[in-house]
Amino acid sequence: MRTLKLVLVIVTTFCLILRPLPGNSKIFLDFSAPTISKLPVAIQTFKNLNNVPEDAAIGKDLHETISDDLAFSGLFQIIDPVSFIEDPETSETDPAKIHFPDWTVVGADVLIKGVFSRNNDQIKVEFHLYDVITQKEVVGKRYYGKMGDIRKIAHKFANEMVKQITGEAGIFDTRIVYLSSLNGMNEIHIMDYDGHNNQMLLQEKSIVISPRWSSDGEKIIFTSYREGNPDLYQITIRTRSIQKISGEPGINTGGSYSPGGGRLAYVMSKDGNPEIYILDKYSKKPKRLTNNWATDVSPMWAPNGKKIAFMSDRAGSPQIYVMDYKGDNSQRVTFQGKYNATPDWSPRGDRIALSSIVDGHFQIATVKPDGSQMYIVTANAGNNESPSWSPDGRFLCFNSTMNGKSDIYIMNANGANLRRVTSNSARNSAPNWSPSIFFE
Amino acid sequence: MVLKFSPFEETEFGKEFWQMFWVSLILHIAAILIAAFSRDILPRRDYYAPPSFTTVDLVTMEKPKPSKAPAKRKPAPPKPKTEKKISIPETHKKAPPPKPVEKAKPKPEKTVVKKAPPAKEYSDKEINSKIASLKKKVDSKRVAEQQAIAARGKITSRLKEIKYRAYQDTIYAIIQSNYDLPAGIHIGEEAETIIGGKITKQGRIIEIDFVKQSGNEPFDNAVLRSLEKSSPLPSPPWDMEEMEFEMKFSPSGVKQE
Repeated sequence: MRTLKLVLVIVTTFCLILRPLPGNSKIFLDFSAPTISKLPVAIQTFKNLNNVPEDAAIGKDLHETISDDLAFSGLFQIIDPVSFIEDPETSETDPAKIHFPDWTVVGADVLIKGVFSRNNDQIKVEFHLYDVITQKEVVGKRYYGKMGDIRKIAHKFANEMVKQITGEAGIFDTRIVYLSSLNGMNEIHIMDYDGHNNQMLLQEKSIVISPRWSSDGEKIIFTSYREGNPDLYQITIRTRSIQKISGEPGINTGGSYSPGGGRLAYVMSKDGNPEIYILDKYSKKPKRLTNNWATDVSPMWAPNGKKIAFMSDRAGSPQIYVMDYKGDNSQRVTFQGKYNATPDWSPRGDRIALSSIVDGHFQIATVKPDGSQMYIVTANAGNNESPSWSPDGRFLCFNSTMNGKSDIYIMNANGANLRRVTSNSARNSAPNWSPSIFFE
Repeated sequence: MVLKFSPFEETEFGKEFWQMFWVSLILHIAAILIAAFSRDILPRRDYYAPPSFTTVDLVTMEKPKPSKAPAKRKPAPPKPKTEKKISIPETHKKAPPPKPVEKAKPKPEKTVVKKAPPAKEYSDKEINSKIASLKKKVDSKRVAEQQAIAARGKITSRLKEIKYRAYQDTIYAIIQSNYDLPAGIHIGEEAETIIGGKITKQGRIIEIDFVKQSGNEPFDNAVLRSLEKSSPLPSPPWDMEEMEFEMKFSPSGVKQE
C-alpha cells in the first residue's frame, strides 16, 4: 500500500511538472467561424495529345460539360479562361512543372487540366485537379470510353471534383425520368440531369401517371391505363420488359419504393376511397396503412425507410401528413395554404418538398417534417408542381408552365439557379430524380 | 561461479527487489502513458483566440500602451516635486551632522592631550561605525541601482510582451480573414485540425504540418489553403530566427448555406 501511495505521488508530481507553462516560446492560436465562399476554379482548355484538328470538338465537349456541371452546382466560381496566362498546348500535368503563380494571379484556388486522345471510336481522357495555393495535385483520373461517352466521362470527373472539395460526390451522373405527351401519345423518357442524352423508355397511347425510380435505379414504376384501368406496372430499363404490380379494381397508383427496395408503398381504391397500402417484398401481401373516409394518396418514403409522407384531405383540404410505415402516428405537416400536394422527402431527411397553391398558382415549397419552417421557394408564373429531390438533397426538379407549355426545370433547393432542362415540343411533366448510382 | 539470483527467494533482498520491480514497472507504464497520451492527460494548451477580432477589440487590446504613456506624462510634473522633496531632506540630513560634528569637535579638542589614547579607541569605534554606515549607504545605493535595473528590465519585458501580443493579434486577424471554406463542404461542428509550423524572421510561414488531422480531407485542405494564403505575415517583433506555432482550426460558427 505504501508503495502504491508513493507511486501515486510520483505520477501526480510528474503530471504537474509536465503541465505546459505559458510563455512566449510558441504561439498557440485558435480559429473558428470560417467564412464560406464559392471556390474559384480555373478549367484550362484540354490538351489534344494526337493533335488532330477534327478532335478539337472532343476537348470542347469535355470542357463545356465540366464547366456547366460545376457552374450549376452553385459551389464554384468558374474563372473566365480569357485571363489565363499558360498556353494549354505547352502545358504540363506534372505539378513540379506547373508554374502555379500563373494561376494564383488569375485568382484560382484550384485548377483542372486535362489531356485526351482518340483512336477510331475509342477515347482516352486524363483529368487532373490541382490545389493552386498549396501547389499540389489533389486528384488525377484516367478514363477510357467510346466517342458517345464524352459527356459521361466529364460528368464523372465533375463528380470526383465535387467529392474532393466538399466531401460528397456530385450528382452529375444522375438522371431524371419524366412524362412526355404529344399528339395523344404518352411517353416515359429518361435524360441526364442536365437534359442531355434523352431517351424514350416507353410509348403508350393510354394515360401514363407518375413514373418513379426503383431504389437500385434499374426499374421505373408507373401507372398506366393500358388495360383500361389505372394499374401499377414496372419496367426494367435495360430489357424494357414490363411487369404488372397491382391491378385491383379502382385506382392503383403512386408507387414508391422504400430505400433499399424492400417495401413498396402505393394507393388503391378497391375498398371505396383511395387508401395507402404497403407491399412487402417477401410477404407479397398488401397491408393497408390508412383507414378513413378521406382520400389518402402520394406516399413517399423518408430516407430512413421508417416514415411515409403523404397527402390527405381528412381535415377538409388537401394537406401533407407524415406517418410511420406501419400506419401509426399520423401527423399533419402543412398548415399554411389551402392546397398542399405531391410531397417528396429529401434524401437528407431534413425537409419535405411539395407543391402549394399560392395566389391561385402552384408553387414549390419545402417544410421540415415536424411542420415548421415552411418556405415557398419559387415565385414563378404558371403552375410549378411535382418536386423531386436530387440524391444529394441540394437540388429539386419539377414541372412548370412558367413559359406556357409544361416543361421540366431544375434548381437549387432554395430556388436559386433555375434552369429548364427539356427542350422538345411535347408537354413534359412528373419528373423524378434518380438515386445516386452509376449508370452504364 | 554461476550468479544465482532469484527474486522469488524468500530473502530480504528478494522482497526488496520485488518491491522495487513493481515501483519501477508502474513508473515506466506511467511514463509511457504520459508520453503517449500527454495531449489527453495533461491540461490542454491554451490556444489563444481574442474574444473577437474586430478592430474595436484590437484597439482595446492596445489600449494599455497609450493609457500608460499618459500616466507617465501626467505624473511628470509632480516628479520634480518629489525629487525636490527628496533632495531637500537630503540637504537637511547632511546639514545637521556637520553641526554636531563641529560642536563635538571643540569638546574633544580640550581633552585632546589627556584623552588621547581613549580618543583613539573611540575613533576606532567611530571608524568602524562610519565604515558600517558607509557600507550601508553603498549597499542601499547598490540595491537601488539593482532595483532600477530590474525595473528597466521589467519595462522592457513588459514592452516585449505588449509587442508580442500586438503581433499575435495582427496575425490572428490576417489568418482569420483568410479562413475560408468551400461552399457545400460537408463538415461537422466538432471537427478540429491542428497545424504546426514556424514563422520566420521575415514573416514567412514554413514547415507547415498537421499536428492533428480532422479526418475530413476537404476541410484539412481548406485550412491549409487559408494558412498558405496568409503567408508571408508581417515581420515578427522578436529577435529569434524562427518562432514555432500551433494553430487549431474548427468549423464551428460557420454560416452554412
